[in-house]
Amino acid sequence: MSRSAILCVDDEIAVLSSLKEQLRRRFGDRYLYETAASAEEAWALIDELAEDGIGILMIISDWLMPGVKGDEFLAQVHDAHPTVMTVMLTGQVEPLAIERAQREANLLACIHKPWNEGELLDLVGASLG
Amino acid sequence: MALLQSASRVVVSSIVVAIAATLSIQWLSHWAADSARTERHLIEFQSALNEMNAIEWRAISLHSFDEETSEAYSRVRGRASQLLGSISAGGSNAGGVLDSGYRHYLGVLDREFSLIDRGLVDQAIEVDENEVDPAFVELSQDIGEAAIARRSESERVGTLASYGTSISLLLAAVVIGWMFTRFTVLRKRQTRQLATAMEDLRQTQAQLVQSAKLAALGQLIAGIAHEINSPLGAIRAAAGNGDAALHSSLRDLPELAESIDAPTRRQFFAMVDDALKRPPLVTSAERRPVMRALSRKLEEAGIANARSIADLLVDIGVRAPFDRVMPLLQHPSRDRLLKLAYDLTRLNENNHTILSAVERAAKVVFALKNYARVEHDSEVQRFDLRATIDTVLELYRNQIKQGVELRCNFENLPSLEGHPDELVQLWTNLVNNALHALQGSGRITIDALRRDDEVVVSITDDGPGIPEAVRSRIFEPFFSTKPRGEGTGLGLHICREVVARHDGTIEVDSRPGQTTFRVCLPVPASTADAGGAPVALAA
Repeated sequence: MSRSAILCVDDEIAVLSSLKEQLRRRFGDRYLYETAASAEEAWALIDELAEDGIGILMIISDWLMPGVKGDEFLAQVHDAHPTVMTVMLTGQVEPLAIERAQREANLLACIHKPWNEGELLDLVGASLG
Repeated sequence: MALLQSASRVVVSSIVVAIAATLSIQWLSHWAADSARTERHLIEFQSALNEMNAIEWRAISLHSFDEETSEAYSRVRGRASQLLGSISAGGSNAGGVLDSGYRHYLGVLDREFSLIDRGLVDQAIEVDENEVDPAFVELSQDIGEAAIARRSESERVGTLASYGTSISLLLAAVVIGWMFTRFTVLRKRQTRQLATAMEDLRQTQAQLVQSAKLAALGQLIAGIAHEINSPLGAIRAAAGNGDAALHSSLRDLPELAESIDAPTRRQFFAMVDDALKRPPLVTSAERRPVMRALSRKLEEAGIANARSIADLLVDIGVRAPFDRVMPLLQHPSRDRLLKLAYDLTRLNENNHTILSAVERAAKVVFALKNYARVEHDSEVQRFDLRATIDTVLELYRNQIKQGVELRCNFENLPSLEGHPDELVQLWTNLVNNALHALQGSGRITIDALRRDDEVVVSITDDGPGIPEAVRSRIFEPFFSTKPRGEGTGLGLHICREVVARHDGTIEVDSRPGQTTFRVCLPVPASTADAGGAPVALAA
C-alpha cells in the first residue's frame, strides 16, 4: 500500500497531466502521484497529505511560475522537510537560481524542458531506490 | 544646440561691442584732426581687422560660412582695402609692409572660411590657430609700428594733443583687437572641448540605449524559451504516453474479450464511454473533492489501496455517482480492467494535451509576431485618433455588451502622426485588460480630451485594481497575472513600446474599484482643431 507520494508542481496543466502519466506508467502503484499548479497550492497539498499520514518522497518543480519561483519554493520545502528530494524541471532557469536550489534545497538535478522521459524517470527511480 | 546658441550670443554681443568701439574711435578720430588722417586710417584699418576677426569667430562657432557672414565679410574687406589704399596714398612708408601682411592675412582667412564652408571645422580651427591668428597679431603689430613711425611727421603736422589722442586711440584699438583675439582663441578651445564632451556623451548614451535594448531582448528570449519549451515538453511527454497507451491497450484488449464475462465487459465499456464523453478534471481544485469522495467510498467497501485506486479512477475520468463502477472494483481482474480503461481514456486525453500545448505555443509565436511588428513598422502617417479607438470598441462590442457598461467622453480629438495600427493594438490591450479585470460585470470609462499640445486618453475600469506589489512590474515583458494560457505577458509591454514610439507617456493609477491607464500623446503642431461636441455612448 503506497503511503508516500511524488509531488509535481507546474503552472501548466498539460505538463502536470503528462508528467504524472509518465510516472504512473513507470512506477505503477508504488507511489501516489500528486500535482499542484503553484507553490501555494503545493503547500496546501503537503499539509493535507501530512494529515492523512502520507509523506512526500520527492518534489519535481517548475522554476518560472507566478508567485513564488521554483528555487525559493524548493528551499522553503527543504527547510521544513529536509528529507524530501528535489528536482527542477523547467523550460528556462537562471543559473543563479540553480545554484541557490543546490545550496539551499539539496537539488538532485535540474532537467530542461522538453525533457527526455528516460532520463527523468531513471533519475527518479535511482534516487527513490 | 544650446551651446551653439549661447556661443553665438556671446559672439553677437562681442561684435556689437567691437563695432561700437570702432564707431566711437572713428568719431573721436574725426574730431581729433584732419592732419592726423593717416593715423585715423590706421585706426580704422585696425578696427576693420578686428571686425574680420569677429566674423571669423562667428563662422567657426556656428560651423557655417553662411550668406550673412559672407556679406559682412566682403563689406568689411572692401572697407579695409580702401583704407589700406588711403594709407599708402597718404604717404606712409609702412604702406608696403601693411599691404603684404594684409594679403597674407586675407589668404589664410579665405582658406579657413573655405574649410568651414566644406564642413571641415576641426581643420579650420587648426588653420585659425596656426596661421590666421599669428597673421592677425603680426599685422596688428605692423599697424602699431606704422603709427609710431608717423610720430615725427605728426609732431610736425599736428598738435601734441591731437597726436596724443590719436595714438592712444590707436593703441586702444590694437588692445581691443588683441584682447578679442585672445578671447576668441579661448572660446574656440572651449567650444572644441565641449564638442568633444558632447560627442562622448552621445556615444555613451547610444551604448546605454543599446545595452538596455539587449537587456530587454535577453529578458524576452528567456521568456520565450520558457513559454515555448513548456508546451514542447508536454507535447513530447503526451506523444510518448499516447504511444505507450496504444501498445498496452492493443495487448490487453484480446485478453479482455477472452477471459472477461459479458456483463463485466458491458460495465467496463459503459465506464470508459462515460469517461470519454465528459471533459476531464484538470485542476487540483476540481479533482480533489471527487477524489476524496471516491476514496471514502472505496474504504467503506473495504477495498485496499483506496487512495491510489481513487486517484487512478479520477484520472480515467470516473465521476459520481460511483455505484456503476463498484462491481468492476470487486472483480478479480480489477487491476487489469482499470489499466485497460486508463490506457483507452488516456489515448484520448494525450491527444487533447498535444492540441492545447500546440495552441499555447502558437499563441506565444503570434504575440511575438505582433511584438516584432511594433519594432519594425516604420511608415509614419497622419491618422484620426478617434477612428483607432472606435475600431477597438467595434472589435470588443460583443464582449462589452455582456454585463459591462461603456461610457465614452470624446471631445475635440485631433488627428495625430504615427502608426494607427499600433494605436489600435494599444487600445486593444488596454480595453482587453479592463474587461479582464471586470470579470464580466462592471463599467469601463474612456475619456479622450485635448490638453494644450497633447491629447490624453484615459481608460478606467471599476474592477478590483492592480495589487501594489505587482504595479511596478506590469510593463515588463512576460509579466502576467492572468492564468497560464490567457495572457502572454506582453500586452502592457507592447503598450509601453507603442506609446514611446509616439513620443508619449503611459501611466497607471490603481486602487480597488478604480484603475486608470492614462496615455498622453503629442499633437503635431500643424494639426488643426477637429472640433466636436462631447459624445456619450452607452452599450
